[in-house]
Amino acid sequence: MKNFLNKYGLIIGLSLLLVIIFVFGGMYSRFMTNQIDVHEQERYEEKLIALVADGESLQAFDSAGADVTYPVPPSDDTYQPELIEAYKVLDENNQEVAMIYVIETYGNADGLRAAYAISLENDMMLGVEVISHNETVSVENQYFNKLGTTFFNRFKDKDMDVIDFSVDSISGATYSSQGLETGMKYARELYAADTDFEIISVILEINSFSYNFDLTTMNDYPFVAEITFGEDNLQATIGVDNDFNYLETISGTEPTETVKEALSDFIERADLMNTQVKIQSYDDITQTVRITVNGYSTPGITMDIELNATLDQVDNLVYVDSTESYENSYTYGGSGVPAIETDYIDQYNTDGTIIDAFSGATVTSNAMREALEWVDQFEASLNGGN
Amino acid sequence: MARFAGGKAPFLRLSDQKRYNTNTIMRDFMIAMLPVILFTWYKNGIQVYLDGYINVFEMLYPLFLVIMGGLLSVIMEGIYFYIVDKKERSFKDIQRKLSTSYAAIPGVILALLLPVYTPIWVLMVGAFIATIVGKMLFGGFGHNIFNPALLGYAVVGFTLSGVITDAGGVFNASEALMDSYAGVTPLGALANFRNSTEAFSYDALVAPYGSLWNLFLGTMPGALGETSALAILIGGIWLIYRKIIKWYTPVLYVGTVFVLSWIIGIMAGEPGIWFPTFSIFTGGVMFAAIFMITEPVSTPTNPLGKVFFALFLGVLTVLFRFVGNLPEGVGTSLILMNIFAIPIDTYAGIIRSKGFKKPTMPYVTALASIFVILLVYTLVAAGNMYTAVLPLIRFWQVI
Repeated sequence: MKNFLNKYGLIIGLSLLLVIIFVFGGMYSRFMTNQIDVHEQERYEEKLIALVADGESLQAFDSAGADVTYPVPPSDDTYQPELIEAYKVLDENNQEVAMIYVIETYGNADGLRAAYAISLENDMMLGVEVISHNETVSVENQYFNKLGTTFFNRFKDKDMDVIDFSVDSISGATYSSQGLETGMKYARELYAADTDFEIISVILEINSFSYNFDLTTMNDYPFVAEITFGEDNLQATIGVDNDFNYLETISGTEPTETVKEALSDFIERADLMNTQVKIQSYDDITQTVRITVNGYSTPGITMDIELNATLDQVDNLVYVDSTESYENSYTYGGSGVPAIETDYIDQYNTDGTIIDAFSGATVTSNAMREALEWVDQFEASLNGGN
Repeated sequence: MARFAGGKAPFLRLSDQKRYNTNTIMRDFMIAMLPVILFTWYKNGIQVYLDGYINVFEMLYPLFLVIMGGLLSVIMEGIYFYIVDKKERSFKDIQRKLSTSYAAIPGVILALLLPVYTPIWVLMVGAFIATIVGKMLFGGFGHNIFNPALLGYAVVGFTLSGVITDAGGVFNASEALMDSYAGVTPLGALANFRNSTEAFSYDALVAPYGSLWNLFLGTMPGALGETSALAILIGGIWLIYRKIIKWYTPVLYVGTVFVLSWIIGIMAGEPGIWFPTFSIFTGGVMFAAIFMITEPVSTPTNPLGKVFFALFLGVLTVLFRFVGNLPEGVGTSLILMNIFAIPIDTYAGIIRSKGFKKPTMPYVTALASIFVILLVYTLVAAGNMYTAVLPLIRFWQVI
């Protein structure tokens, strides 16, 4: 034995050391890797609890669920958001103070996962925390990162007992905004299913929705809607602003305050026509109608429509301003702003034709095409008036 | 022999002096690495523990990894000595050989080149490649062509990087929570600009990690020993003070990377000096400058050779970093340059001894031509990657 150890002891010892390092070191490494998941879960829960001021701990629960579908932006398809997890938030006395729903929705892409906290005390939306997403964040396009503090603050202390339960989108991150808004709405549905909270409802149907081409009232209300509302199917024709908010009752029964409040949401969801063009004003001294049209940007392109003396024809279009930049056009090689806008206007003024979209700048081009088609409709309505 | 004509014989080599024998050099080398080791332990262990993200056991892992790197190299070298020399297999024999082989150094350097969540078995593979393949199979200490640690790092990097990423990768427990990092290191952020029409931007490359000061201090994600330029510089100053390394080698290397990065930045529409500063403080540039290109065995020994080596290495680093598929460029370029260390040393030795005269012109021309070709290609290739440069090149009608 002694001879054996003398001869092989060193190599056995060194080899044994290697094996020990391999085994115990491997265990140590595995422990380190496993700890990452542990820490991630801890941080995840901390993030959720941080949404609730008095929150101390989380308790998972099975939500009753809700069958509600929402549009997939920007298509006409619909989908039901996916409830990933539901938690009750407990305070230091182990009292339930809030609910948190982790919901996955569509933004610009699928997989927009966010946590929505709702106070049990006053049925208010307390806030939102994005958990993960597949939205666009590249060197060129930091779209999702445009959703800054201002946007997320819109989810804080938000009253859920309202008809128009929505948040304003952020320009340049519209689909992501809408995805998070959908999650918020679905969280309210889940909350209603899990508690005695009732979502305020309204009976309202948008029968028709159109631009107000009447020069005498255009400044009062740019859009006109015919609606049916209430259990008695009351009718009304109402004027609404560019954000589809109620302005005045033109004829019929004046809607209730609840209906007025719900109006913009219903018009938006009805999606009856393209409302890219907005009437800004009519100047009866210069006989000019000013419109804007959204392109890549908002308010987009502004132009004046000069009418003839008898107010039955469009005399001339005048370019006023543009907030477009063409920067999102990867292949557009033409001149800078307002080259596209003025090309469209010049051609239209020359022979009334609407030229094809510019390759590589289709969004701005299509905005101009939409505006000029609107001018055609407007002119037709003027002639019809005569 | 013109170079020595004015000198007075006999010439005493530094290594013959007691103060500068190999033992001293290696001891000083280890001392120089101490700030780096301590910083990496602080940044990836102690600080994260103090912030409450990890427990004590996790806190020790970065230090454990570095110690294990050294220990594994020593054990493997011991086993190698045992196997190859049947006559000297006693503990004392092995101990004596190990004491003159400085076995721990490749392992320690290797560990410092790896991410914090590197599994121990991956470190073992790297240590095996570094110690046995990179060092012992070439004849042991003083005979290796490649920097052993770098060879181990390259093999692990090319074959097991996925394993390291799956195990946790480069982000320590607190860095993993930093939303602003968006899961990428500074060089990863730079790589996002490949094939992009955007100019480099401070907001995209530096701001997520704080400021240039943070990059200098090393409070950013990266391999264990590479992040802190400050700690590396402290080690470097010690080595220069002790006359272990020549100051101009790291200065020329870092300077070349700095200047070329600046030119590329200017061509890509970002003339700010922050960009070349970012370029030298990220990745392994500083670490390589102090601890790897000054390594006496796998790099040229004569001063002119060191100059050429540093210049070539700087150009190649920029080439691989801005054009290659991997965000880092230091390791690949240094391995490549290790191959050419001997010819560069030879050519440079001839030029240095005979001066810039007719007989040495072919050598001068050869080295200068290769350097210029590399330089031009690097700028053009980087331009092709960062397409913002193209209009400028077209404008100049150079290419």
